Amino acid sequence: MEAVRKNNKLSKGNSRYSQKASELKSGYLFISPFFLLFGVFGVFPLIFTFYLSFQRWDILGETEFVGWSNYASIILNDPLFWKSVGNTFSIWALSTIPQLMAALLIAFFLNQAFLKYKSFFRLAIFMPNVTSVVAVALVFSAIFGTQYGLANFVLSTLGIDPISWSGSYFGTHVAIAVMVMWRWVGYNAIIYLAGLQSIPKDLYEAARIDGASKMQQLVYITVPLLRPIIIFTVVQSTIGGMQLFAEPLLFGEGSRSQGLTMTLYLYQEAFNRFSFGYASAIAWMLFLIIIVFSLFNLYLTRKISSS
Amino acid sequence: MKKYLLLLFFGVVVSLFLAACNEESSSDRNESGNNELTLWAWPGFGLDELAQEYEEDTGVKINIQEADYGDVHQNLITALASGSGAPDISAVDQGYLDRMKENQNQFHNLLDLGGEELEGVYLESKWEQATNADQDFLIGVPTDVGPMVMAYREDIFEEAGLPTDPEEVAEEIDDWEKYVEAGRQVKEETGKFMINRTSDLYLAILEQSAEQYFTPDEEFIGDESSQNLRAWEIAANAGDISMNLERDSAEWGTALADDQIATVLLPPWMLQNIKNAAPDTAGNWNITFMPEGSGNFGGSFLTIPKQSDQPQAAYDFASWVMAPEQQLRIFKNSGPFPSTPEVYDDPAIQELEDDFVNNNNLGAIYAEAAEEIVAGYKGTMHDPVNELFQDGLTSIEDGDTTPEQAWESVIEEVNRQLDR
Repeated sequence: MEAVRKNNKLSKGNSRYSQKASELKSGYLFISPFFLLFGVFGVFPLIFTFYLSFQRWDILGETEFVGWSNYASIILNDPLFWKSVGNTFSIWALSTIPQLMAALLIAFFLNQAFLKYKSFFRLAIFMPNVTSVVAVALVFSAIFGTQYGLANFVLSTLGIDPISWSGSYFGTHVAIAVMVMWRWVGYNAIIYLAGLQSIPKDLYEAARIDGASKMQQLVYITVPLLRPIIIFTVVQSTIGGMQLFAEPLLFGEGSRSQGLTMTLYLYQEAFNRFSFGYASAIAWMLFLIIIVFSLFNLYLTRKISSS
Repeated sequence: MKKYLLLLFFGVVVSLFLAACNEESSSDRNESGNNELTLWAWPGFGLDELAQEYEEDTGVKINIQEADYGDVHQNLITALASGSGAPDISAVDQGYLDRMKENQNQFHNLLDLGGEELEGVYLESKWEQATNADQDFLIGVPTDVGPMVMAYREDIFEEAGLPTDPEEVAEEIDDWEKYVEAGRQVKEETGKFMINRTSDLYLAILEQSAEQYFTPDEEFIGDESSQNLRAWEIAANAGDISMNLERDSAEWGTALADDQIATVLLPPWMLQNIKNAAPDTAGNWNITFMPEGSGNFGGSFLTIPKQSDQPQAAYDFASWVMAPEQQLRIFKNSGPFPSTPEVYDDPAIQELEDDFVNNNNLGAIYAEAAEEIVAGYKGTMHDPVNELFQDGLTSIEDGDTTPEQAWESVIEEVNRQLDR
């Protein structure tokens, strides 16, 4: 009897153990598609890029180990890279700052009780985001044509001299920034709108009773309570802005590379000049820059909105 | 009402989204089975009809997969590097050819497949490009050639007081200095521009020389090669006759249709671009020789990657479809210009007529220009270097650099990229 009970206990424990193991197995099976794909398309390229960044490789020939020299020439002896960093930040600032402010205002407006056809406006403001970026770039390239463009025509009716959109720093940066803005302002507005709707109505009621104007409500209630969402959009736009590629590629980088962004430079190194090692090193520099800038951004946004 | 509006918008959104997805769908994978050959090319080769006929005659199906010009080359290079996925036949443009030749072990030597029979069939310049320095490796069967000629607007030339007859124009504008002078006359008399951008003038001059940026030993000579110096000198000082518009851009088309550009230096296939961009200018154009001889613009080769398991079948098709007879048929079907001189006397070329230009000698001019082409040595870094020089010229036109500054910064950047 004693022995039987013992046996029972043992077998019970055993079966419990094996059941757990099989549960574990199927659990891993369930999540494996993601990890397989992530491994093939995420982790492997990451590691391989790191390896490549220490090589010289024209993709068809053999790799040749060059140590840190790719990084050294990027940092010390590559005016084009630093120019591309400058361009990226300039275009980012020109597009993101007005974009987020506009998105906030649009969201605030869309959230007002007096507004009719809300769904229509929400959909309409989001529409540009689903447009193909190639189509956007082509249409805007036509608008920002120097000789026959719509933008210069409008400026000329206002009595302003035509701007060489594709031939000057200012023109190219503004043209690309406008494309980015047009495409993303609605997306951010929708995110802000979701945030706005989570703010309790009674706060506004109380403010109204105290005689606060709409502007005061925006500044003293909406913005502080939206802080986490603002941080989210800032980080998102930062990452997106650092990776700006299709717009400058299709608009043209211009004769002095004034539209050359970091990712575009990376692409050109890899697929126009076939220096895959150098391009990989640029990719890692880009990674570092984005991390540093995102952290700085986070710090700044926190500081501003908490003060 | 609101519901219908929403539905409508939802429909639009979905269709836009689908359109966006469609654009990104990748090209089919290569399946080389028996009696089937895959061929990669970009639009404009005009091979469809011939491939069909080939299948009927021989039972070998040619599966033509088209992608954009740049994508074809990038896909091919990726397929070669990864060791699988390359087609049986791939078109390679002359701009990428030297990079492929440098890795010739990735391709079948067509001389081993019977390629020596092709010698003498094609223009000397094409043959030189297709073979290596020792003449013992043939990387591809030459396809078309792009002899540069000058298209000009008769009406603008007349208004400017220039001759309009093609022979007289060629006689009067027989060097590049006179071309720029004529351009100034056009600008003064009509306010119109001679050319779209100085970098296109530069390219045309550069292409007239065998010696361009690199020696066959890959040594950079762009800073001292006399043709490059001359091309730069002329183009850098021609900003006043140029409209500063990129060729083939939307604005370029508008400017042509708006009668603002008096000449286009072009190979035969580019005439189609003008027809598309400015159909209403038909009948105002004429074509004559470029000053100082012709040059080449475009033109490709059909290569057979090592990965192909049926190189002989691939070679048989490639050499058949690019044989003189077939090239002539491609040209007759408004394809690119043949690279086989023996068909140049054919009536289809000699008596070529085109309503778009007032010239019954069109084909004869193309043919003569094609024979004048010299094979410029390119080298693997030609295109990136070329782009730097073109950008340098455009930066002068854009207005805040002097020619001297622009030259210096171009040379500096070229050296930096080459030293890396």
